Parts: sequence; structure tokens; C-alpha cells
Amino acid sequence: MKDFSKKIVNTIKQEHIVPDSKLKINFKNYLFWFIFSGVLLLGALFFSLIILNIIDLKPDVFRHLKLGRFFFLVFMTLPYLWIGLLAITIFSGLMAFRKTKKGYRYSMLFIAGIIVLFISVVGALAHFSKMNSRFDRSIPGPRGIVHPMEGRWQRPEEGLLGGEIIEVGDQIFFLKTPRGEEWRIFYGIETEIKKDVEIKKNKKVGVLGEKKDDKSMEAFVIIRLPFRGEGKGSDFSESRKCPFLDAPQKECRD
Amino acid sequence: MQKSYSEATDNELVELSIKNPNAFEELVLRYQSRLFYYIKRISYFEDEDIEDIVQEIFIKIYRSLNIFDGDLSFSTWAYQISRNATIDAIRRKQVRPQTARLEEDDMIKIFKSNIDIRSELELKEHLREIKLIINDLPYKYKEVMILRFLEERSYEEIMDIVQKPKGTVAALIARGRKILIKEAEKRNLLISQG
Repeated sequence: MKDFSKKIVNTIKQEHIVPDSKLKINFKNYLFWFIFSGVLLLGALFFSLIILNIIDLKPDVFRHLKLGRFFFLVFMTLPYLWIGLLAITIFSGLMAFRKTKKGYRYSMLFIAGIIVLFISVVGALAHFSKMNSRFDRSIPGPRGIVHPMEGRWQRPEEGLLGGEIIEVGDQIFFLKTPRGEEWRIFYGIETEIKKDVEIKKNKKVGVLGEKKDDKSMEAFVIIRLPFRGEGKGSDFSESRKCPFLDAPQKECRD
Repeated sequence: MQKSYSEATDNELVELSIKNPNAFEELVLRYQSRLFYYIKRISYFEDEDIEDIVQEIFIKIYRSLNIFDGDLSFSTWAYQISRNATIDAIRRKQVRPQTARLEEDDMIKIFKSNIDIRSELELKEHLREIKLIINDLPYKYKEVMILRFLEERSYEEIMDIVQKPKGTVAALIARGRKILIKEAEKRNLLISQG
């Protein structure tokens, strides 16, 4: 093997090669750290939105349902958009971290653990600081995809129906759903009507019961409509959260 | 009194080289041969090609001196850059299959390091079989075994050179060893069967 030490030094001198600046050489490293940090914050936001949606499930409302049906409803109405986006962010975070200067030193499992831990903690903090609610309010787009709550209460076959009372009779009221359907709801002394529910015109309620025939249902439990902006403890803007998208704004304010 | 370049440590030479390229000559002198044989072991290139690659590597090292922070030893860092440059060169010249070309002594050394085998004399008689076994070893195992048993690198250093987690490096070496033992058993090269 030839000694080319002098040749290399001569090349360096003749071609005026100088060591690159730290910033230039580390640019890729900084870029991946930036991506990694951004992805973690996004993941935390998505996680907080998942919490928001899961908490909206209000499990006590579903206690009258059989276990199988409960899980079916949960499964059908999980916030898949946020879950999917969270999965993408975790994967992107893994890839970005592995591309950082020392990222190769850690196993994928370890990095995934750190990412999940960070996302869980920051996501929970975002939830408790109601940052997720504020973000959720500002989301444009098709609510049917983004917000599963409406869908959860539009399953009369499964015994769940939500909407606005448009007329009240004797042990019966008429409910208008967000889809514009009108349903007859029968209730009686055996029906559990939650304390904060008023069976009055323009009130929005959710009914758990059994479908009798086309557009009529027997109510077992009646609760305040748990659409966002309507549930207990919610801080959502009512005008923004009106489930009756085609209704005048004032109809949504009760 | 200022130390001569030959007395300076690698890290000191890095600092000096940033200011004065003449100091870099000492680093090249120290590592050109080691990197040349390392590349030769992990690639199939001819000597002339390897010399070109080594020169490119030293220019690359020189350009990158500012990010050398002493977290890795200069040696490990140079090996890491060399390995990446060699893989890039292999990818560029994909006309031939990717394999490693080892000298007979290197093959025997790897074999002996992993397997409780017969005497070296007997081993040389079975050289053809040993060559077959080593040549058939998948590249990912061969690469880490070269670093461990020929370059005599620690697991941490191998981790930094091949840029894989330490656990993965250990697993690759263990699996490579398992394959060697299995193949040696098949060919009746183990002491227990002799």
C-alpha cells in the first residue's frame, strides 16, 4: 500500500479545502432533531384529542347496554382519525430520532418507549390545560370524520338516538336528529331521566332505548345530549358546536 | 516547548489540523494503513480502488474535523466514516455482488475466535471448507465479526462504527457465531467430533 499522506495534504492545500462549519455539517442532525421535536408535540396534541373523545364516551351512560353492544359502540365510534395520526407521528418520531447523530445507539423499543411516555405526559397536560378543547374548536372540515360523537348518537338500531326535542306530549316527545329525521320517543315512570334533563321544546337530549318501529323508540334512559358543548363541564362554544348544522344559531343555544 | 506532531494525541492532532493542514499528515500516516485493510476486508475492491477510496475518506474526514467532539475516539470516528464511504462505493459499483474479501489468515482467525477447533495445522488442511463457510456467511454477520475478531474492536466501538444499537451488534455476532458452529459441525471440524 502506498503512503499517500503527503498527497492528501497537498490536495488539501492546492484545492484550498477547509473544514466545513459545524452548522453546515450538523444541519442534517439539527433538522432531524427539529422534526423529532415537532412530531412529539403533534403526537401529544393528537393524544390529548383522543383523550377528549374517549372521555366523551361517558361510560356510565352506557351501563344499560350489554357489554358486547357497549364495546361494539366504542369500537365503532373511536376517534380513528386521531389514532391514525398518532400512529403516524410515533413512527415518524422513531425514524427522525434514528437519523439524528447518536440516534443509532438506542433500540427502537427504547425510543418508542420514550416517545410514548413523552406524548402521554404532554398529551395529558394538554388535556388538563384544555388546550385540546381549544384546538378541537378550531378544526374545520367534515365533522362526521373528525368528531365521532354525533355518529355515536345516531344509531337507533343500537338503541342510541340524539337530537332536539321539537314537540312534547303526554309521555311522548318528538325528537329531531341532526340528520333531520323526526322520531317519536315514548317514555314513562320506568324511564330514567337524568337530573339535568328537561323534557322541553328546544332541549337537546340523548335517548338510550329500544327501537319500536320506523321512527319510534322506547326510552330507557334520557340524558343531556352529550355532543360537545352540551355535556357537563364542557367549555365549548355552543354556536360552534351546534349539532344541527343546518339549524339557525339561536336554536342551538338553550 | 511544543510537541512534535508524532507525539501528539489524535485529539490534539485534530485541533491542530483545523488550523494547519500539515498536522493532518500525521493523522493520515497513523490511519491510512488500518483503514486500507479494513476497507479491503469489508469490500471486494481492488487495491487501487481502495487507495482512491481511502484518499476520499481522508478528505472527507478533513472537511468534517469541526464536528469531531471527542465523544468517539478518532479511530472509531474514522472507521465509521470509512464504513459509510465504502458502503456508498459498493452501492455506486453495483455491478458485482456485495461480499467481503478476506485473506486466508483472516478467515482462520475469525474461525478460531469463534469455534473450539482442531490445531492450526489441521485447520489449514481444511482451509477450503473454512473459506466456504466464511464466504457463505451473510454480509451483516461478516461485517461485525471482522470488526470484532480482526480489527479487535469493542462492542461499543462496533456500535458506533456500524451505527446500530449495542444489542443488535451483540445479536449479530452471536448469530454469526451460531452459523459458523453449525456449518463447522456439518463439516466435522469441531474438536468434540474429532
